[in-house]
Order: sequence, then C-alpha cells, then structure tokens
Amino acid sequence: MAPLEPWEKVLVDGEKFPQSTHGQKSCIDCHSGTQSSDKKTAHQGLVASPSAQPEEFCAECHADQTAAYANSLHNTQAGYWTAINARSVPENHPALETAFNNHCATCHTTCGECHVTQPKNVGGGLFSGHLFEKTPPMTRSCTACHGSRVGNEFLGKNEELPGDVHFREARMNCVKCHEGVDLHGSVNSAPEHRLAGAEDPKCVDCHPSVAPGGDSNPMHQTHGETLSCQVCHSITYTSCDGCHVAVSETSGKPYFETQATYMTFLIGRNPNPSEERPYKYVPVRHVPVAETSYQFYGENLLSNFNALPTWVYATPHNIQRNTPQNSACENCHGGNTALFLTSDKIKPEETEANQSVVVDTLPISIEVILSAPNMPAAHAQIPPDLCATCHTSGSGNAPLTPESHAVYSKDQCQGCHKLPE
Amino acid sequence: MRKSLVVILLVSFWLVGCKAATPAPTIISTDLPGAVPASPTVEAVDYCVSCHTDKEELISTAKPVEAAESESKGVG
Repeated sequence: MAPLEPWEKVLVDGEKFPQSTHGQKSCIDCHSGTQSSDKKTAHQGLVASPSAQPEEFCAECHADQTAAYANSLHNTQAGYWTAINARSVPENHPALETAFNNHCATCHTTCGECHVTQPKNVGGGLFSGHLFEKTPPMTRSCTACHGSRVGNEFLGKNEELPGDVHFREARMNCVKCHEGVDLHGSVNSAPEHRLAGAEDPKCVDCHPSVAPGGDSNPMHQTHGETLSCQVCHSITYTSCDGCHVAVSETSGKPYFETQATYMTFLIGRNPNPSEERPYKYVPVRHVPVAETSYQFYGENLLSNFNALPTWVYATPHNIQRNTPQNSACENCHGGNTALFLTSDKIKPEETEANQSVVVDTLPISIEVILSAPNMPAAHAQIPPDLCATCHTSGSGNAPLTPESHAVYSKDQCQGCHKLPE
Repeated sequence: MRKSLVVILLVSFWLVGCKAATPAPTIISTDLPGAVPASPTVEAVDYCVSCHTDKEELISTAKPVEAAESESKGVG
C-alpha cells in the first residue's frame, strides 16, 4: 500500500463530510485548536486523534462500543503481554515494557484508526475525506496491519498460492466473519489472547452441515472433533524466525530485523485443548520470537523462553475446499512426515519449548485402520478410555493389545476398531 | 396670604431638590413571537474547513516530508 502524500492525509471532502452525521459537529468540537487563518495559530492545542480518548469523544453516541473497547485486544494488546509474561519473570518487566513501548505499542488501534484513517504504523491519513466508515476498508485498514501473514494469505499474494476461497469466490471481506461486536470486544470479558474464550468466528456457524453428525462426509464425521478445520482446509502459509529489536544509534528510532521468512504447512499438536477448541491437531506456524529477541534492552530478558512453544496454533486465512492434504487418506495416514511438525524440523535450541506441539507418532497408516477388526456390538456402551482395562490384563478373555500398539493413545482405540454398523 | 403661598412653593421646590435621584426606568427587550433576528452582515469563516477542503492550499502549506529510511529489515 503506497503511503499517502501529506496533503492527501488531511484533505477533507468539503461536499460529503458536512452532510454526514459527524460533519454536524464543528472541527474544534473534537480536534480543539483555534479558529485562525494562520496555520500555526490554528493548530495550537490540536487533538489530532480524538478517538484516542474514546470516553471523551465517542462515548456520548457510541456508549456500548466505547465501554466494550476497553477490553478489546485491539486496545489492550494483551496477547503480546500474555506471551511476554509467560516467557519472562517480573524483574525483567521494566526493560520489556520499554521494548514493548518502542516496538510493539504502535499496533494499538483507536476507533479512528479503523473507521476514519489508515493506521499510524502505515503512515496514517484519511480514508475518504474524513467520512466515517462503518465498515473499515479491508486493505487500507485490516490488512494494513494484518498484512504480512493474514492479508497475503487471504488475498492470494503469496506466490503461486491461491487466495482464500471466501475472498476468491465470494469477495467476502474481513468483517463478514469478524463482526464488529468481535472486533470491538465485550464489557464482560477481557481476553488474554486471541485464542481465549469461545471460538469466534467458527466455521460451522456458516457451514452447520460439516459439524460432527451433520453430513455424510466421512472425513467430517471421523475428524470433526479432533482436527481443526484448517488442518484439512488451509494451504501453505508464512512462518518467521528470529525477530530482534533495537534502537538506531544514528537516527534514534526503533527498528527490527527478522532473520528469516519462509513458507510452511505443518500439522502439530494443539498445545492447549479446551472445551471451545478440543482439537488434538492444528496447523502450527513459527512465530518470530527468539530467546535473544529483546537482548538490546538487557541480557536474558526472556529467561523462561521454553515456557511457550515457538510453533504456535495457527489459523491460516487461505481456506480451500480441496487441498493437497485432504485429497486422500494416505496423505496423512501413509507415513509421510512432511506434513507434520516432527522433531527433526525443530531447531535444537527450541526443542524443549515445543514439547507440547511436536508430533512424535505419525497417524496410523490407512491399511492398518481399514484392516483392524471391529469391536463387538456389545461394546457400544463401554467408554473408549476403558478399552485398556480389559485388553491389557486379559480380563474376561479379552484379546491382549499387541506390543505394536504401545505407541498409540489408549483413548483412541475406536479410531480403528469401529462398532459394527 | 400671597407671601405665604410663595414661601410654601419655595420650600416645596427645595424639598424636591433634596430627594435622591430616581434611576431611569430600564427597557426590557423581549423577543416577540415571530420576531426575526437581524441577519449578520458578515458570515463567520470556518478556517479549519476552508483550508482542509482546499487541496492547493494544503499542498502549498504542507510541511515537507523528511525522508527517513527505516532501518527495519524483514517481515514485520
């Protein structure tokens, strides 16, 4: 996105804006300053971004949104601090706060930076003559910040990779799924990160037939509760390594350097299965954190670096109906390690951090699954986690589990040994 | 008799002259229903709007941009 010229950033639409709702107020009502033909005098006391104080300037008419926005991740940036706190210790927080304020706080967003102007970190400037846009323009607002990963995936800007089907086929924009109420936050909860709380948006809200028990697709019925939708329906996406931040000795300005950016598609284990996201497997993306990311601000600031994985639960925004991995069962159930985050793909220094996501055991081959004998019909009432009770002791003449099954999870017997139809 | 009348009149004038001055009655102006206020002869200029809707004015008064090359490298 090309930056705007200085004059473009502040040019007000003299015809449309005065006719709009917000145009009924005088400029000084929101921006302060002084009525004067002299530019310097006129701008004395100017409030360039009134919505940085939403309680004062927005709440009178938008009370609900203003109250909720205090909890919004767009406002709190709590996701950053959740990760930083987990990887650090309290005595390192002052130095990390300095780093955060220099490098990360620019991602904080005001009401105006979605509804009136482009975000500051892409140079700012009015969208359309100071008109307030109820729906933020996607590429000048949403993907101006969420561009290098989400934006490129969704819009099909990654070389030789198609954009998201929702954009390609239906020209859906971000707010079709991420509705205003989601983006503005809620007065009732202050999420710690984007994966906290209910899964929202959720694919089955628009595609109810693919929910478990909903359609005849055996993939959906077999995997609906164990795989996130993106495991089967997303394609290659971006991962990054080693972001380091510092302040320039020459200009005094903060800067960053990312060591590597590369394309991946890897399935890992879900590090935090929850009621809302019960999936055992999810796509994982390498985030650009390194143990030395903040070393400019002090030694060993991320002293608990291994507390969180560096390959994280990802929700790639390049959904396709047909993907390389969902074309055949063998792609995952055929001993192919390429699709999985196996230990050989993890840097040695990050091995410990990624214990919760690494895939140690590949899915069982499709031949083994299809040749596995069915359970007796009478077992229908037995909970799946009790199979081992009899089949490891031989109780009741139950056949003993073969040694080759030792690598399999004891609550997944029904994955291969189905009940008779 | 005439002399007494003159004395009474003189005393009366004297007494009236010593009385505290009475303030002049003020006229309270009230807008009558349907009254039309006088239109101002000069319309107030909104300098904010007049400048910020004038592209040429903004171009001529814009502060020159200092070309500051970012030292950041890689994907943010």
